[in-house]
Amino acid sequence: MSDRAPEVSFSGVSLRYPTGVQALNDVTFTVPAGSICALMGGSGSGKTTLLKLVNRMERACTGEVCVAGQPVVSADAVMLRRSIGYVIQEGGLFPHWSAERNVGLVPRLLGCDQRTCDDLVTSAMELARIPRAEFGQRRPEQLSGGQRQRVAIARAIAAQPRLLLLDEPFGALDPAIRAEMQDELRALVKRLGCTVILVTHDIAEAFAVADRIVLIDLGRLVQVGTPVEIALTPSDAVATAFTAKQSLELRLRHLRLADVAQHLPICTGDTSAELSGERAIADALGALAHASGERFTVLHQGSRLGPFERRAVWDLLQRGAA
Amino acid sequence: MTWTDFLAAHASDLAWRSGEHVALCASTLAAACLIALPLGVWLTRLPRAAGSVLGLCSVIQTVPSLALLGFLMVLTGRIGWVPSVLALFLYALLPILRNTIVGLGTTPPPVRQAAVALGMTADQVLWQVSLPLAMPVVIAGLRTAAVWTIGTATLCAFIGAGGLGVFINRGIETVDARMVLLGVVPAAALALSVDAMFAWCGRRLTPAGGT
Repeated sequence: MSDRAPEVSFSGVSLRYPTGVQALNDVTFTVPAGSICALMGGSGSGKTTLLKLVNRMERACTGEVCVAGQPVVSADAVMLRRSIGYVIQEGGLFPHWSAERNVGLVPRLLGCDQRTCDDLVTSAMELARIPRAEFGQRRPEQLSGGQRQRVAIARAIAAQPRLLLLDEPFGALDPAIRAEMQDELRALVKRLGCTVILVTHDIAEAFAVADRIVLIDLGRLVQVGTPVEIALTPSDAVATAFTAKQSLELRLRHLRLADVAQHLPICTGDTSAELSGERAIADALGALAHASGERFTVLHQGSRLGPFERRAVWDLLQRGAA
Repeated sequence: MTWTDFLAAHASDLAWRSGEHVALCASTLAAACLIALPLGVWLTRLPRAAGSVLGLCSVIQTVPSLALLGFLMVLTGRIGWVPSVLALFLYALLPILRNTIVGLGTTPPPVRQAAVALGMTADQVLWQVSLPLAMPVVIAGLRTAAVWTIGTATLCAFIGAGGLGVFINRGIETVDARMVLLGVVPAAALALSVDAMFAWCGRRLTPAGGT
């Protein structure tokens, strides 16, 4: 794999297990280079199977999965896997190895010398905020759930992969630690410049972390879009049912004013409030209420959008949530 | 004759028979380990064959010891070491084989999945992950096999293989409880010593954090 974050593409991918279960049915989408893509869907929808196709833990019956334009089936499976970071829900840490030995696994498999391994381990553990000096010698059983996941993330990024696969990495953590880890993960992968494919069934997690969301239902692709597109313009009944599960609070917290501005009707009349498009909707509505403003304009990327009515924002959010 | 006089009179014979017993058991266990450990590892990749082989071993285990010794004596046309080692080997196979297969199967699925997904080869997963984690169970199988072998080896005296069973036979024939104990007590002590030795090896070989 090159030094640049790769694009990952799925073209007409279908997979039927020997048991006869159709896990995936003609799935086509692309994960842009350097983006974080969340695969979302219910249990058994095929999202983990999709993830495993990328590092050849599964093999498609028809269709093609490409990483950086190269079909994965043409690559050596072991070398491909060593070039891709991987984290699973339970961490999958080796219980008989110390944290630092776990983290150094892939560099050692790649044949790095001891000094390089040491540097990579120290650096990865610092990035994952699990300092080697304090935690390096501990075994997984001596770490908390959150610390174990940090070690698992450090292990996944130790060899500086350009593609990360995360299979419900925070599913076993309590909500407070999960939210903290989500924020850190997004900051970390943006700093590393990786392409990330994240499997989750937690819509709040997808909204918090992902640039794009891929909705899957019973092995069929339902919708691909940004969190805003998924939240505000569901493509069909399945997507609508899915977005209906989102709470209004989630939309208020995660959507920005600029995200919804293009869906709002322009009104007439005077306006005194001018709000940044980067503000979260909850924050913007709070500011309007505080200023007793009914109409506002949005400043976004140097241009002024609107004017809009405050009530139209509520209508839009509630329509989406219905 | 006091116990001290009795022991002094049989000291050299006891040493000789103990040596025979140790040699008989050691060669049996060595052969069983050499065959059952690799076979167990190999069978973990062939679950259907593993079921059949374990089933066969279980059937062998149900055959009474004396009957098996007699059958093998007839089958090989010999008495002494050959049928004895063969019988003890067949008995030792099951615990070692079963515990190896079970032990290797106890690697937590997320651990195995992560190992493969991060680029370990099948051999690396086996040697660096599955075997170290399976070590306590494998060692438990060896301990069971060792204790069974040492105990059952006393019966091999019936077909001329020597060992501590010779004293037991002699004691039964002459209705001499002291003579029986001269075979039983060292055999039991040997079994306990070997068991303790394997337990110590198990503790040394089991990595910290292993199951």
